[in-house]
Amino acid sequence: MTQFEPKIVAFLCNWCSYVAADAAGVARLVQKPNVRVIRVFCSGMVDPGYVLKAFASGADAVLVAGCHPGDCHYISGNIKAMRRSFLLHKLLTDLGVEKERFRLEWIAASEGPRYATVVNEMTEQIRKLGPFRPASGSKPERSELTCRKEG
Amino acid sequence: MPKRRVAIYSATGCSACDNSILGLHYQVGAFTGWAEIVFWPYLRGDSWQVLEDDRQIDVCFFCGSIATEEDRHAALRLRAAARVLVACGACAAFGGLPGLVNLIPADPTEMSTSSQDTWPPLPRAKSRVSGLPGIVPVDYFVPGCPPTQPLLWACFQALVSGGESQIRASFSAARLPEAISTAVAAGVLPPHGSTFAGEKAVCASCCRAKEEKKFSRLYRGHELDPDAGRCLLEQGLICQGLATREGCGGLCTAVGVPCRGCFGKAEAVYDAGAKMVSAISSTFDAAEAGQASEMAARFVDLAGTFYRYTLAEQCALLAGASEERNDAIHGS
Amino acid sequence: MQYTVLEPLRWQDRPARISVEEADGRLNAYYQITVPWQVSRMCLGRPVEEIPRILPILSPAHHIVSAMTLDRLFQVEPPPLAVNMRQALISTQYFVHHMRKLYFLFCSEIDPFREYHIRGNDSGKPFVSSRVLDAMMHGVALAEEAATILGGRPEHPVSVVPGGVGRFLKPPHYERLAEIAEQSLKRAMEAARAFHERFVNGSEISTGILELHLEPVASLALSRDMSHILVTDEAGNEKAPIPPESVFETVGLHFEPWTYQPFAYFLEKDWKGPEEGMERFFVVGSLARLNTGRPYDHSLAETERQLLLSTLGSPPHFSLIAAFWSLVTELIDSAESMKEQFTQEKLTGPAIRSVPVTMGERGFASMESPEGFIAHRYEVNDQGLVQSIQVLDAASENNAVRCAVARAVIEASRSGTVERDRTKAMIEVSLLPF
Repeated sequence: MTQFEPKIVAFLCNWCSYVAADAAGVARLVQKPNVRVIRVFCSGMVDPGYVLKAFASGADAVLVAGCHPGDCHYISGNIKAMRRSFLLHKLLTDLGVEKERFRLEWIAASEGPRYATVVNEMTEQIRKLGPFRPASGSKPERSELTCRKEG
Repeated sequence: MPKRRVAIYSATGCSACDNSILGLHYQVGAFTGWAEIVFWPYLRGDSWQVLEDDRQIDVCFFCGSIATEEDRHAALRLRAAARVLVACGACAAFGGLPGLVNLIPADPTEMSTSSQDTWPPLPRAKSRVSGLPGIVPVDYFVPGCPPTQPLLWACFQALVSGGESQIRASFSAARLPEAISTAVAAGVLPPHGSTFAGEKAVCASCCRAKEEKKFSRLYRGHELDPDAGRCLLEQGLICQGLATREGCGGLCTAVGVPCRGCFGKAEAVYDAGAKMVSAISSTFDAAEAGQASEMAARFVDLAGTFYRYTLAEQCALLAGASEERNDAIHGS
Repeated sequence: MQYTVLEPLRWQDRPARISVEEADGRLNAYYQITVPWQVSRMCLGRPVEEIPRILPILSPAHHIVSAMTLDRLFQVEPPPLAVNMRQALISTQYFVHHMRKLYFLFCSEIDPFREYHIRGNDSGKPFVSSRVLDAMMHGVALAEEAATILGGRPEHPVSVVPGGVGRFLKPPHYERLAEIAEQSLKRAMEAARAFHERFVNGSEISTGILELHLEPVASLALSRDMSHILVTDEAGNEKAPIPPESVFETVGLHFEPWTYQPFAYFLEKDWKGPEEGMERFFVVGSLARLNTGRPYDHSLAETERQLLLSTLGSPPHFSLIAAFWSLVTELIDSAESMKEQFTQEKLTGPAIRSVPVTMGERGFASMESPEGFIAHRYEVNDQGLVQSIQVLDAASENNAVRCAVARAVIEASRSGTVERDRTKAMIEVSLLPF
């Protein structure tokens, strides 16, 4: 039986996390091959629409990785990403996307090993969760709400 | 020139779209001079027989969402019978309010048709409500709940009269995209797939003053009596005007309540929910992460608010769930 | 089982049909609503203050009763100006609803979209001229303009909020409203005149297509001061009034597998279908308000009501002519209300809303919508999200009466009193005032 291979879309910022990913590769750190990388100039330019589009296009999980707060090449781009993440998480949850499928991480250029760890961890986590199916979008809590047949 | 043959059909919704079209007829003078309504069950009681005798309808206005097998069947039949199919109203265009039920999974026992012999059958309810484009390719859209009279009239003029109407000047032409208003004036069909509404966001037509796009506290709808002249989002109310297509003239904000997106998402927006998340996160005046997280915690029911009228067809994440849509896309 | 299906039925708020079954001399008429109406599922989990924006899909009056429910939930009193504006909006809703019904009645035997509008009825007299039909719809358009000024949008209003309404009116608004009120009264009187010309000649009724008498049944309507629900039985005797808050314990909803719309019935009796008798059912709407009613405050409407009573006798009434005539009376009353309410004095004031400072766990409100009695009850969690919602729209849930009406028409057609091909048209006209 073939194992489920998650598809993870990773938006990596050009100045920090992309470099870390590159370094992880050069250092031949063992990484799961499930990540599709999209290089962006700043984590702050990742519009929530891109995240939704990734899911709508078949991604099972999305990772957005940027510089640590204070280290952003554009000063506060990563802060914008962080501010969006709270509402984005909520919206995704409302639409039936499990929390673990969207992650915002800070990964510095020197943190190649950390990048590899995040990727591997995430892959296994998503493998356990299974493929993302845009189903009815039900929130887990909603199934407890009574719903009389009303016709 | 022969009269255009018009059909008007309502699936699962309410009767507001039918009543709007009826009102249109009487508001702007009888369009029966150049249009012949051959199929309008709501008002004339026409049965499907009418379409079987003579299949060609020039323009069909389809109102209502698709919630039963019968609705679906009607959509397929009218698509086959009509040269031009218009999704009229938010329910047909995007699923409308009935689409909200997709957020709560249906009880399987609710969905079963009566199979007993002792009572007459009922059309089976589908497990998922969709809008018209989820079932068949649609030629034009007139959004709104219900569509406003000026836009309905622009649509009639453009599509039904084909320029033959004596009343050429559409009184909403100023807010229509140029391509449509030029077509209306010239008497040709507008570009296929056009929406009879503006392209920009509602903010462009809203009467309120926009000063600085920052708010420091989020208010639920009942918690604030907002300032009458100022942008509602800037006062901390969630107003979806910035993600919503304009064309209504800012009706809701004019009477003091925030926009809830009945015209569907604006042209440039990929997903209304994503757009709102982005806009609110940027607009919220937070000095630090803790505040942003607290603000987010006060938010409730994002999906039901941001996709109030458009969950069935314009929610990027859930749009893929409809099997018919895939057929329609791949098959057409 | 073989069914004869009569569809589509004109003028129904939601797609509906009649399936008729005849077996062993027994006739059953099933009024089926063929589309699901899942307002519960649309509202559960929503922020409760959004419900007034969702429930108008049922009918415009639900917007107002929803805001009233929230007034109770949030324990606020709307200021007097807001109360006036809400009342003004309700008057326009009565006007539009009733005028449209009468329009449907008057063009029931013609195609209103033909270029010729004047057609004789059986006796060769013109039914109603196109000029009158156009004038009636023009009246609807004006009332909808008023509804837009007061409510934001005509069919699905938005401006009534918990604690009040959303915006102040300015001089151009109430000046225009005053004009509209004048015009509306004229239109209402014209429609009344047309109704008289066609159906009432002095003390003689020429019913024409309005031949039907409904089997006597109870009537239910909210009292004018909204303090209790009036119920009269099939003989017109007053029964114990019901406190509005306990209506959900008194009136139940029963689901049948052959229609998506439930049946409203009195819970004190066990459920049985309408074919087994009507003692657990009741009419609502203008006929019920006539049967349980008190005099109107407005003179022209009261004069009309007196004329109705002196021509048809004292209530209770179960004839179609009475049902439509009560619509006419209420139409006049709504126009007179508009005249009374659309004044600068009533539509100006210092405050339009009271902002709540607290939130309870549940709210309840009820009112007489143009169609009939409606009630809402919501329960919320501590975040203000709807946990449970009950909506009673007694008019649209009046399936039992509709089944009875359809059966009566079909029985009449079988016994030869009605031409066969007019059966569907007669059913449609008979269902119209209910």
